[in-house]
Amino acid sequence: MRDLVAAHPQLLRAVAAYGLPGTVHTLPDRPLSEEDWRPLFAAVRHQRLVGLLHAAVRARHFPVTDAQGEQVLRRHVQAMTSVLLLEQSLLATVDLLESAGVEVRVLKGSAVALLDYPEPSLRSFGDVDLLVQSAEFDAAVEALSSAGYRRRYPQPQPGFDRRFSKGASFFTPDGHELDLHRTFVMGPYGMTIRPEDLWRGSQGFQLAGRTLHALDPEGRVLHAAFHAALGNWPARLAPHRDLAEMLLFRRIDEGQVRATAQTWQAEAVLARAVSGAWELLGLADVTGLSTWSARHQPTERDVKFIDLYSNPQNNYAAKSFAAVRVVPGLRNKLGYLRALALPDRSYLDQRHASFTARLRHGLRQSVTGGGHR
Amino acid sequence: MRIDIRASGQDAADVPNAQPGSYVRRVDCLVRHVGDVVVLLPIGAHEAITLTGSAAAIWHELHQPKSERSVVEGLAESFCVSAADIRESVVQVLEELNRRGAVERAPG
Repeated sequence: MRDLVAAHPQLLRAVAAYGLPGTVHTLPDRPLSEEDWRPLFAAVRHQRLVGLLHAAVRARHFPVTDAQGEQVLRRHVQAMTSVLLLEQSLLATVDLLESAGVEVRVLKGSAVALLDYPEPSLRSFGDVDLLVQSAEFDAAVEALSSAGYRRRYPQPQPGFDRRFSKGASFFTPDGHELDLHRTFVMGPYGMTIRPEDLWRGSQGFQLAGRTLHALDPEGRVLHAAFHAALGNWPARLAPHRDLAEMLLFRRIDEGQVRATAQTWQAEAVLARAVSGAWELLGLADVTGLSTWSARHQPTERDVKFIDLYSNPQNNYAAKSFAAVRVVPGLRNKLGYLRALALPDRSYLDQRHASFTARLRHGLRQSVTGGGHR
Repeated sequence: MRIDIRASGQDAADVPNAQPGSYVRRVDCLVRHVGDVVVLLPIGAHEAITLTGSAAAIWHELHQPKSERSVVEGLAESFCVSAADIRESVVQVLEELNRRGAVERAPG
C-alpha cells in the first residue's frame, strides 16, 4: 500500500480527503507559491477533485491568492457545465434504451454524485456509465447503433460481449463517451462477478424530473471498490473518496458487501480498495469493513490477478488471457478462447496488428504476470 | 427486488401551489450549484446558463413559485434597495430564463 500512497503527493491526498471526519491530512495555512500551486492544481484537475478544492477554498480552509481562487472557480464552473451536458446525454440514452425495452442502471457519475455526496457538485465525472443485463446486451447495442451511437471497438465474435466482456464503449451522437457495462471490469475479476447479483435491488434518484435507477447502496460500494482497486494505475483518488463517502455516511450493510465479494471471489479487491481509501485519505475513524480490510491477507492467486490490473505493462490481451482460468465450464472456456484466438477481421483491424502478436503478448503476460512494483 | 427512491439534486419548486402567472423553476432543468454561482442546463439546450450575483439570487428566490412582484420584493429586501430601482432588471432576467427554458409561468 506504500507505493499507492507514494504515487500521490500529500497535499493532493488532503484535497481528496477534504471534509471527511477524522482525516489526518492537513491543508496549508497560507497560499502556495505559484511554483507549488501549478502542479497541485494540474493534479487536482486530472483527478477530478476541483469540487472538493473549491469547497475547501470557499470555506477558507485552503487559503489561496485571488488569482488562484479565480482559477478554481472558473474550472469548477467548467466542470459542472460538462457534467450537466453529460447528464443530458444520460437522460437521452436511458430514454432510448428503455424505449427499446432494455432496463438500465446508472453507474458512477450522476448516481454517486446525487446519492452519495452531501452536495452533488463535489463530484465531477467525464463520461456516462450504464449497466444492462447480459441477456439484453445485444439489444442495447443494436438500439444505440441504430440511433447513431458509434462503437469504439467491435466485439471479437458475435455473442462475445453478452457472454464474456465487461461491456462496450460508444461515442454518443453529441460526442460524449458512453460505457455500456455488463459487469464492472474485464479480465479475471470480471469473470467471477455474477452480473445477476447487481440486479437484486436498486435505488432511484431524481434527475430533471425523471426517476433513474442506480445500483443499491451495497452494489455501489462494490462498484466503487472495483474501480478503486482495479481501475487505473496509479489508482484514481475519486473512487477512493466515493468509497469513503459511502462507508462513512451512508447506511451500508457491510455484511452483505463482504458476502457478495466472497461469492465473487473478490474479497481481496474489496480489501485492497477499502485499505487504499483509508491510507490515501488518511482516515483515523474505523468501520467494521476498514478493520477487516486492514487484516485481510490476499491469496497468491489474488496477488497475481491484482497485479494484472495494477501493472501498466499488462494490456487488454494480458487480462483477457489471464481470465481463461476463471471462465466457468469447459464449453465456455473453449468459446472464450476461440473468440480471442480467432476474432473477426473487423476486430483485428481496430484492436491489434496480428493474431500471432496478440497471442504471443497475451501468453507472455499471463505467464510472467508483470511485477513492476 | 428492493427499490428505493431518493430525491436529490433537484432544484424544482413545488408546483402544485403555484399561483397562476407565477414563475416556477422547470422540473426538467438540470442544475448544479458552485458556491454562489448556479449552472443551469434546460432540457435540449446546447449551452449552459451560468447565473452569478443577483441573477443567482433570483434563482434562489424561486425555491418556491413566486409572482414577478414577489421576486422583485424579495430581492429588494435581500439587497437593501428599492423595488422600483430593480424591477426592470429583474423582469428582464425572469423573461430570459423563461425564454431559455429554465423557468416557466404557472398556467392560469
